[in-house]
Amino acid sequence: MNMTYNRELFSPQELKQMYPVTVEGAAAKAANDARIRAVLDGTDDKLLLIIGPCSADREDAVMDYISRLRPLQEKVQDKIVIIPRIYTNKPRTTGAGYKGMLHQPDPIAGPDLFKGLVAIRKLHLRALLETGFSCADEMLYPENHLFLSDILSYVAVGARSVENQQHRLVASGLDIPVGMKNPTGGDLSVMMNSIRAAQSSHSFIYRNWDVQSAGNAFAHAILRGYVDNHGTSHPNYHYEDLRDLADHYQESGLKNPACIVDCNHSNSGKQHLEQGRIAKEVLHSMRHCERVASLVKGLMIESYLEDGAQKSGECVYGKSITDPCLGWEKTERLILELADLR
Amino acid sequence: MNELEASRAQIAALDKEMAALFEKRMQAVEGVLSYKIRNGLPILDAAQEERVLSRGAAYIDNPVLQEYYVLFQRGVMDISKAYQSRLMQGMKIAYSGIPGAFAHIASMKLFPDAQALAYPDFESAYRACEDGEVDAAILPVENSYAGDVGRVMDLSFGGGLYINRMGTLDVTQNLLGQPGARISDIRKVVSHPQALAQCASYIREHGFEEVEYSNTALAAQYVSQLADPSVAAIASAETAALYGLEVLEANINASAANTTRFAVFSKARQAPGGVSAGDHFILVFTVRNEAGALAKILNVIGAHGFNMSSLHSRPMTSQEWKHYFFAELEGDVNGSEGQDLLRQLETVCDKLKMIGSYKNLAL
Repeated sequence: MNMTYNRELFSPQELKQMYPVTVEGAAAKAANDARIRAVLDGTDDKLLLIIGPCSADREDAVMDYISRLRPLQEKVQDKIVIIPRIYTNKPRTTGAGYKGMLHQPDPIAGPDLFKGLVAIRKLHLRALLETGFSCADEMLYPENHLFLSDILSYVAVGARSVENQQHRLVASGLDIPVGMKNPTGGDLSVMMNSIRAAQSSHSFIYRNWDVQSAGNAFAHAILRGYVDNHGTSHPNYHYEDLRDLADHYQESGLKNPACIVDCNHSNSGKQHLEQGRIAKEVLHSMRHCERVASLVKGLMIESYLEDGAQKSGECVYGKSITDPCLGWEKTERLILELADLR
Repeated sequence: MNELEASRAQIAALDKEMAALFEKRMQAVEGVLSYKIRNGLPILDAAQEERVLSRGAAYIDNPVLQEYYVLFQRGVMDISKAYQSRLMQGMKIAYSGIPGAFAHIASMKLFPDAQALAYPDFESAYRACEDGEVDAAILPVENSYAGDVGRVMDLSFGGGLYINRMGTLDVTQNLLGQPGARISDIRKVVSHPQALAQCASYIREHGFEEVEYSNTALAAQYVSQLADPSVAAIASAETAALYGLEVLEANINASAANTTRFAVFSKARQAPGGVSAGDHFILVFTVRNEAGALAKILNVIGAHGFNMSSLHSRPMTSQEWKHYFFAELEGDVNGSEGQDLLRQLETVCDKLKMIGSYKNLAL
């Protein structure tokens, strides 16, 4: 192999023993899981709001952000279920650039995966124990899910990973909802196949074990817009797109049909300030059609303390070092508006 | 009332207020001292004095008065230290050996004001502190020439004391004989095996017969009582004076840099953010009975960037064929990196104890 073995890492069991979830934490996660499942299976008509920084670059700012979400969640609890995003690993188009806290626990220092693995568990655990939120993360490396499996309430499989077999197989073995994004090219059948795979039972190798998954009835769709052959972004959150997805679901016979609209990425063309308008348009579409209303279960929004984005060396507290995010004031206003519109 | 009387009356009133504050301040000093005694720490903490002075200067608006206030505070702190050393006379410390032993010399340097009590061996000194007979026990943990002092490691592995202070004493060995004796008269030398080892080449050159004794100072005492000019002791120069012997030859140890490190053991473990951050710490641990168990622990220590200055493996007295490890690491264990390390090692090790955080200082 053409690689250097730097350091052996802890096993998931060891890391969980070192930084354990308390009884209260486990109870909070169980309650959050039940609330989220109730929305996805249709017994509750609240809106899921998966919201937070594009990347969790530093513990202090992320904890500050998530702590501010808590009183807001209490305020809108009759209308909205908030799942904060703590995205600790980032897919990069060419592999260059900041790959998340897992790789760089200190965003301006070099990679240190040993400390990164500890840092992401500590951050997710702090969020759970201090705010009662069990959060969402991207499942970029399926082998790593076990390090956080007792803390997370939601994972997303990204546009670049959704065609990958191991992602689909591991998704089928998770006991929390998995959102499958449409691929960057926008082909909905790829996403539907991925959801089907995740809802079925499989035998495969996971972390050096022969395992059998039970199938995940809460695997569902995330529409994130797409990019055409010429590199131009196109949205897929419009009324017609949502009807189209409802048709796909109807033919599929999949369990718990559900769609989360990702308001950033190709849906906004990375124009982060458009996210509010897009979110409100989706709610508007839901009022026009019963099928759309019962399909759309939530929204995904990239938001942080400061508007926009910066280069990672600039070190502005609470400002994204990856994709641009909505700042806190606009975020707070938007969440209250969305609650009013429900 | 004229102007002078008015000012004097004002001063008298202020003096009264200051006297009340002085009494309160000295009471707070008692609290500081009792912490220092429990943790085996010295009275002088230069870094803290600097903090007090710079903080104090900031309270004074008038720049001319600022420098007088610094003088005033220095005076207050000198009075405070004098009061602390008076209180510290009530502190009791244990060392192993008899007066004149290196442990005694080290004890006097570490706690000049305290009452040093002699115990016959490491274990009884250690237990005296555990049982509360004394506030601290001063025991050697390392000798640069003849190696480590294993029994003290065993005690610290099994016992309940912590090290908050560590001091290195330069040890020079001397040939001590009856007054008037000559080196050519000497046939036999009596001393602690480590002292004999330190002076092995000197002893060989002179063809002396070696007699082992439990302690260098006891050896000197024995030689003194024997009153035989052909028997000499190897011990410190201080013991010669104590037991009426004469230094026949000074500095007979082979290595010039011959030092012994003494640890101050006490019941209290200095809390994170305590008086002064340590730059070294000691971990004692056992590993799980599986392949690569020690490598795994060293891997975690390496991941946190702590340099290990020594690692000893010692047989456990309670279980046959089982060993424990005694490791000294460089860095502050009470920082976030150190706290993460401890937390992670607790899971990876079979049993783990952090037994001391300190600075290595010369005595």
